[in-house]
Amino acid sequence: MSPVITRIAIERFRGIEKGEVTGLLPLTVLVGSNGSGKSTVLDALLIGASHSPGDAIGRAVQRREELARGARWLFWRAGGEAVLETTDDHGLVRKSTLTIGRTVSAELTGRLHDAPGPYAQIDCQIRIGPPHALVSRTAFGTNNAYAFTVGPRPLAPARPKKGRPLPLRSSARAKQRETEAMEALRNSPEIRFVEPRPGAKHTSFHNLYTQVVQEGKYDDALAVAKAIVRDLSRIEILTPDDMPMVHLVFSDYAIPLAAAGDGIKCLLRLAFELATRKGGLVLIEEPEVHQHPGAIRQSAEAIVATVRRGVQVVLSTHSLELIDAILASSDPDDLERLCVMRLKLDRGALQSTRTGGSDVAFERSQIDQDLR
Amino acid sequence: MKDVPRSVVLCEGFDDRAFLAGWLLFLGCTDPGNQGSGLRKKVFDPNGTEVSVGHHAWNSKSGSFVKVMPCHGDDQVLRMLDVELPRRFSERLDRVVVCLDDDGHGVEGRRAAIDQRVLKAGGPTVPDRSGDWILDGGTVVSAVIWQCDDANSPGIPAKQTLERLVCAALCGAHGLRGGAVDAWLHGRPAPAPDADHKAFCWSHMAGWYADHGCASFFQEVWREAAVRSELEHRLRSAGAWQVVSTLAE
Repeated sequence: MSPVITRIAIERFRGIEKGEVTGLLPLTVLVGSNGSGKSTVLDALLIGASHSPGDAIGRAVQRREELARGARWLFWRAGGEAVLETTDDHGLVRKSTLTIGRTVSAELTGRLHDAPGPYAQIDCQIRIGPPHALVSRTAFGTNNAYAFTVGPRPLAPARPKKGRPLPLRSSARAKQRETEAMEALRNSPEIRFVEPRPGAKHTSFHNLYTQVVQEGKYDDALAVAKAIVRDLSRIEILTPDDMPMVHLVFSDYAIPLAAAGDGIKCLLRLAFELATRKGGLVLIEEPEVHQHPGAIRQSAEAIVATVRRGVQVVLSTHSLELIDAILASSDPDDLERLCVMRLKLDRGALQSTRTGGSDVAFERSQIDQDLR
Repeated sequence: MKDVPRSVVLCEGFDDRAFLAGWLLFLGCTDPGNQGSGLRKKVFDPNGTEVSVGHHAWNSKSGSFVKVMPCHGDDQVLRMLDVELPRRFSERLDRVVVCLDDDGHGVEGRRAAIDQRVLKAGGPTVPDRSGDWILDGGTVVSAVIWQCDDANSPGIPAKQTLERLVCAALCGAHGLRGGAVDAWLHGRPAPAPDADHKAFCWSHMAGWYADHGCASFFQEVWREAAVRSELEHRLRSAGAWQVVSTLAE
């Protein structure tokens, strides 16, 4: 069972000057009005808990592709230092301190290839447990293309005390700490950010499909698709014009999934993404996008089934239908693993109110309360 | 999202909701969903979320938003209080009014149950002089306990509930009705179930308010000046009048 992130504290990150969300559970639903900080909390989890923080920073910047030179907007009022601190249910605390500068390391400049720029580098100092420190570096082109690296934090050069040579064991201890820190980072949960909306940066369908088949989850994914796509017999990769493309196959014809409606694509992307997860954390932004209530119910079932497999899911939504569908798919044990977190952002101060699963069920079934 | 004062009334059921509707209308509140000619429109709270069909929304005289939520039982009123109070941090919440039948618990028993919930939500250990609990952030919690001190007499059920309060007011305004209700209830052919507080109330409804039906009986009693005066007298002595008047301001 991989650890569950239970808390994230955020300082000077995007629109949040300060705040924390505590009491996250295996299935946490973030609700709140537009501008209440839901997306920022998802980004903060993506970076603050990732086993590859340099890549996560790049992905968080690329999520807003319309924003040229987007890296600086990860910071409150576009500058200074941002701090993200996560705690998991084993008590492990991880602190990530992000800074941005215009100096880009030579190694990363070389790896940005044809990107215009580079113009900025975000350094992320990570402390996992008391003695460990690592730094990830993410360099950005002006078009938000990025390259990243991670390694031990360079230590300040040790100064020998008067007339005494440097003790050899210091460097050995430092090396051991580096190794432990890298190990701790590698053991962090794998995080997947799922943004079903068309136009978002996605893994290609055929790569996802391949993972689904490799994980032995084809039947699960097909069942979700069949519940929504009438007369569908199977899903296959076909290669028209030597291009591998996922197709929806019917009894006498097939169409590329890319040609299907946005709702079907959103649902199948979600189903494929969830089916391939074996642990770790999945972040989902508005899974209900483009979906009919029937598809929303399928999405909810897939989400609840994923959580039952030991995957932590944190999702944001504006859909009461999705919340109701999650409740309808949940048994009493599932309700123990569920909470709804209502967020509010007041001049940069993030506030949250947590409602446990059984109270969520009570409010929806007995009181007919709108929880959004 | 509008920064409009928002209050919530938690009550046991639809009869409480109807009674509060008549009371709030009398005190000058308006129904934002009423479009006239029997037409209704959807109502949204200051956060922009729709007010569910079972809830009633009101605008107070000064434009505050008031939502009346039937919770289907006393336990569920208290559970909803548990859920609602922590939300004051993520949503403006000026006032919470908790309406409960005395129902044998006594006013002090009911207030003690509310006290526990307020304390759990980080509120004060004791209410202020007016009997309200004032929590951090300024949220005020008030209790309205349905009961009346009238002696047991014909047409008035013994159990301390909203029904007893209403029956007592009706009997106070119309002295002869109580005897008629008693005579009807005692004259039923055997076997007849015990005449509980509901039986008394619906007997009053069937005798004098049937044209509007059960759903609006508790609202209709507010239309008649003599009954209203009897209600006001009892609600004032119970401290409830002040709570709901403040809500309606």
